[in-house]
Amino acid sequence: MEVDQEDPLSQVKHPASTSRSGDGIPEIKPAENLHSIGIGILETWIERLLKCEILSESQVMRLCDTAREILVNESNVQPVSSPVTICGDIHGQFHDLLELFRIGGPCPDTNYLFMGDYVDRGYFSVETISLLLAYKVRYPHRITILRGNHESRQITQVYGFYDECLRKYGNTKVWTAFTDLFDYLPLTALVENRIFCLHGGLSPSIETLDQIVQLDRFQEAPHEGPVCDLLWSDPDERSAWGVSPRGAGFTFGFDISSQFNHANSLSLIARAHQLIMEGYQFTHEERVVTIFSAPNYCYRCGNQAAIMEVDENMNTTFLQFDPSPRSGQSNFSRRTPDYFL
Amino acid sequence: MCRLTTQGTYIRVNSIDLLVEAFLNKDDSPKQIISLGAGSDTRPFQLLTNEKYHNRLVYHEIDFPVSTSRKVAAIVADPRFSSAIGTGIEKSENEIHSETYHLHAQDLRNIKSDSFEILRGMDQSIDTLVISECCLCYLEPAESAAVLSWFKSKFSRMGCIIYEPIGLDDQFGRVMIQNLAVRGISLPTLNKYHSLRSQVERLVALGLENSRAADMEFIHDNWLSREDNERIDNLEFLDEREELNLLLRHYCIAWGSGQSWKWDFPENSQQA
Repeated sequence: MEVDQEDPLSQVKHPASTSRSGDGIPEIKPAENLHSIGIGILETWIERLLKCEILSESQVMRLCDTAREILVNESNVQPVSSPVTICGDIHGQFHDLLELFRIGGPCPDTNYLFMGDYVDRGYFSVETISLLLAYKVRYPHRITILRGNHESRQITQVYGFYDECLRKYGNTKVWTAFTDLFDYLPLTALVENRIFCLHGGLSPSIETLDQIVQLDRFQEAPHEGPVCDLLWSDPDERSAWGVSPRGAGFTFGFDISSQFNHANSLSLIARAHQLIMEGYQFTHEERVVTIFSAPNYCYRCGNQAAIMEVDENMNTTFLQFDPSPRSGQSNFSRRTPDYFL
Repeated sequence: MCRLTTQGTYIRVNSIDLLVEAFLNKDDSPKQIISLGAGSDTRPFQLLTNEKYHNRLVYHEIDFPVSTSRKVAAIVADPRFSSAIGTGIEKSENEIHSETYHLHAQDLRNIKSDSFEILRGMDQSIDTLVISECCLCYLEPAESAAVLSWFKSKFSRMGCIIYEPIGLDDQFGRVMIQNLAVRGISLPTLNKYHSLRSQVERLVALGLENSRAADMEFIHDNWLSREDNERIDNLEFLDEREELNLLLRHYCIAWGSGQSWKWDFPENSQQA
């Protein structure tokens, strides 16, 4: 692979500068990261979650506390090494997440980078976010989980996660714990300084990755400004910046992606956030790729899902997959989605 | 997902209103609307209380007795409805008839060439608009064609509006058919009238040579005002458009009239 003249993260300020080794990957300190949950306990939690059984309220609290201690030390532009498999929206489609791990390989055998939107819309947001957090705590350097626009107190009250927490736990303490944790999820990641990964897209307030590193992300996802844009923006056929039909973030054209990738020595922007019928789609002359990993989104759209494998040599391969047979099992019959009829 | 349903309903109601108003305002001669499978639709009460159409509009609604009996009860219970339908009210358990409004309890599949009961209050000589909003699609193709032919044979000055799903031969459509089947719903005509073209051909075959069609995404973008669309977007925040647009592309309106009696509708279509 061609080596770039400049490492855009060379001046990056990391909150946990003391825990970093020379190769850019934080040293593994299980004793510190896992101080409140033993590995044995974590593995029983993961085993249980893989059966689509929820953790208890107090277990969720401990899981969130421990995950926060790990995430608070991650950068707004979290460095990630290849090989890694990059995934888009999951939206509570837990059985399809298990299908994703069957297709892409189990964690931690495969390194994963998830680009947000774990909750809302699907019926198993609690199981989905619990499993991803349990993996994050158990294998902090094997899995990276970014923030999506749905990892927010406001959006989850509209699109299902709040109601699901209330239904499954009888109170909102778990929702409060999860959404407090969401404030700590990193906003973006950078694979081998070449592939820039985030949920939404670019911001007119941001020209360099270093500017992202400087942002204060430890807050509820704002309605406007650079943090909002990273979670909400979409690429568009039209050039320059445009008003987003979503009411938050911007649309950005080929010229914007081109300039951003050049200025930051990037080969690709990988993002999620938009339903793609084939699961993935390149735009802006292959400068941007959208990856969507929720097959038959909302149990209605009929779309395929995809994940992007990046190998040691930074070659990319897309794996497409269909809904898990179990997502169509009979307990869904009373909850088929609405149409306009 | 109730927000999508609300938005879809808004777009459907407002676009059909545009067509209905174009029909009513064609000229000030007497007009008649016949709504098939009308359900709990409230359009007749709004039109009948509109001064513009006083003394020149008669509105007919047809549905199964199980549906019309509920509507009779609703009309009787609410003075806003009962006052809207004017004077000369005769009512039974399943039907209401007044000078301007007729609610018929009928199974459309039973209409035969000698069915005269359903014609109660209908004037076969005036401009007539037949509306099917997701009604005929529940019938077998032959039954659906027979219903439209029957109306065409009775009303020479007939226009027609059909609102139905289309495009169900793709991935989205296959999932929709499966999901509806789980609810015990099947839409037998969908294979036959699966595209804008086949919907227009259906109306042309009926003798409505002047027919056109457009899908609901096109209609949302081209018929409804930008100001209204933005106002609706702001009323109910939708965090993404892709799913709504996917749904909208799978519903259409087909509308038409014959050559001898033409009904001009100025808005654009995708299929003529």
